[in-house]
Amino acid sequence: MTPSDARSPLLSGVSQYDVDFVIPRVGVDVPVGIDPFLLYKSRDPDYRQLHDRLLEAFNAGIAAIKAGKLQEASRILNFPEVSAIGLGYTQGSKRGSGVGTHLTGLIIETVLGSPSLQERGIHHIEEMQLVSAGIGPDRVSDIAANVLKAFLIEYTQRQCGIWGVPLQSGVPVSHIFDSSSQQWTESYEDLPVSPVDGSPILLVPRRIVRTLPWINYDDFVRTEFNAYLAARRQAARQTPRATDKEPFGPPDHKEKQQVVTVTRSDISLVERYVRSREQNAANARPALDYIDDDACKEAEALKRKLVAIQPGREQAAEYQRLVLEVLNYLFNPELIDGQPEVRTFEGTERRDIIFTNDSDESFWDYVRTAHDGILIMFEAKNTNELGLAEINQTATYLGDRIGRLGVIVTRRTPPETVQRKIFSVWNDSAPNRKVILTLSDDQLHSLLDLRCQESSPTKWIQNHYRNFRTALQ
Amino acid sequence: MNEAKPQKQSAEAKRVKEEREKGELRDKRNHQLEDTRQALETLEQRLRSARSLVRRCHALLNHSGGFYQELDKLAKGKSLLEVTTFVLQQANDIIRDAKEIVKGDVYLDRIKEFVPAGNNPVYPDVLVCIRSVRDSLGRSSSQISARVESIKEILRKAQTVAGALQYFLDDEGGNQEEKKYPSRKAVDAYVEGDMSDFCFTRYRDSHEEYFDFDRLDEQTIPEYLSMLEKEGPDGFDADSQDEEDDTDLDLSSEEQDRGA
Repeated sequence: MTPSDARSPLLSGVSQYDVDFVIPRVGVDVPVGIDPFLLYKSRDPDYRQLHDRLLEAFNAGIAAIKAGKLQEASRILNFPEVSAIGLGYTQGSKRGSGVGTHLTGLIIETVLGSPSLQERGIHHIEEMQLVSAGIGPDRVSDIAANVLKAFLIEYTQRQCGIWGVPLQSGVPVSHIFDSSSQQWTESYEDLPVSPVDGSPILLVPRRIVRTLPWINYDDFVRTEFNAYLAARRQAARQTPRATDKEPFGPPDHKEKQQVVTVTRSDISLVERYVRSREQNAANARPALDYIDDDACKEAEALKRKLVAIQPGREQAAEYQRLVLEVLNYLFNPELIDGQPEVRTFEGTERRDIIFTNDSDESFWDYVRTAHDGILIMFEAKNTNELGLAEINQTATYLGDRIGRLGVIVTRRTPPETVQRKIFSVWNDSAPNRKVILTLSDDQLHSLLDLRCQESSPTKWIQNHYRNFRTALQ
Repeated sequence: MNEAKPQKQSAEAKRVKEEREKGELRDKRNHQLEDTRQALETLEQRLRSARSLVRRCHALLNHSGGFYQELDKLAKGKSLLEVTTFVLQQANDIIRDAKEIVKGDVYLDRIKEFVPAGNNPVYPDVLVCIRSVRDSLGRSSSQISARVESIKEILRKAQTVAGALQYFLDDEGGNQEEKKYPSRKAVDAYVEGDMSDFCFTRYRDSHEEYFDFDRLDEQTIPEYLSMLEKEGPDGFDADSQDEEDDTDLDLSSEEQDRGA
């Protein structure tokens, strides 16, 4: 297998830019990992619940160690590598270090060696990197992948449904954590399998992967631990004694053992660092640098597809899927988990796409606050003539459940009458104003060009929104 | 005797005709007085409204002047920094208030309230915008003041007309001829404050002034007072400016017909 073959995507018919998940590669791991902090900071309650589940499982293991039930602890804290997700830092291969049992031993040893950790438990599993020499970012990702496997299975099935990826029935999956019984279980699931070796594939949302976890050892040493050392040196200079020695030189990886000896005994160092990372949570963004496809080629491909779809009902489904691809290309990972829905409204078929707005960008944050909700509806209307009825339909759907900002994606810029109707929706919906924006083919082309030029489509949408609001004055 | 009877009948008919014409003229003057009083009421409201606008305009100029100066200081070296939300609210309030005061200024019309949508505007943008608003307020301020003077002049005219009509209808006034051509002095007794020179005409011989009913009778009261236009000459809609002012100056067509 050549290096380029090894890097080629494991799923065909989809582009990394256009989907919500990380596409695993044929022969190498994608060099990112699941960062549980992105679950913790998410606005999506389901994601936050996953983080709670992760902590619950881990702290159950710590409680077992504290109670002296080491066998029980070994059972709970058993986190073998989940190669099905295809994420990791192993160079040139898909297999990690295969240290599941070793990891369990490390965790137990670490917790046993730190009474303060037993007492406090952990608030983020990434903290384990700061108190154990053998635990790094890849192990954090492994732990998360194990506990979240049930979610990943469900997510994979849903995404395969959306993108038409074939599923194989009855694929055996082991080591699935059941949070209600705190047991590891096994089951047979419908999952996609690798065309190379037939192994199951689990898809991971792009929103929760980072190259390094937000809470990581290197950053800890650079910030909190260095400050700690500086304070120690200062104290030593003020009260010099013959027996005092410089506790450390500048820490490096070889000295991690020494660093964790300190953190195990003084867990407040970890606590302070974690608190500062939590306070800067807005800067914790998912990774994008693993996407190495040509963005402009993808933009051109999407434009060609858009031109090829004829307006009308016959190609409404294709249009809806394409709109989903375009929106993922433009806005993921700010808008995530885009899901197409087909509903019937007064006898007419409605095709819309619901995104979760989990963005830290100021505009999307504003939308979340000003228009009440973390969901945003994009309605795909494969027509040249958007009418008043469509505006009324969209206005009806906007509300408490999916928020009050909706975007109609349609083929042409709507006529003046429709624009006036959109204004009247705003005027008539006080005090909880409803905003309907429209995006035409031409505007989608502009947005695709912007993304190709590495400019921000979000800024464009922000201006589009401002123009709408200004026109109302 | 037979000849004397027709003469007597003719004199009687003439007297009856004169009485009828006199009655008709009195009715007409009564209606004119009614219309004038209505116009006076409208003009007083319009004057209150315009004065209120002048006050608001000066207050906003003053307030925005302070705001502009402080913002100018804050903006030094902060060209790419977003303004605070408080500053943004203040700026938007100034723009909104200015738009309520000034109508028909194309440059102000082009300025819109800022929509932050997640990012507040930067200092220079707000500064430039407030400067334009102040310029517009400055232009408008002198126009509104001129408008106040114009309304005051029309009001004087209306008060003079009302005075002349009251003199005419007053039974205890002068003789018929004097009532037909009331002297300035006679009218002055019925008017509080200054009178309008516009309403008087001079006799060619004596150069004395008399109230010119002939000119008044050629037009309706609103036409005579030159106040048919609803909008002021400076383009602002005086009637819509004050919440207290909800009356329309225009008289109904029926009243205009009657006046004519």
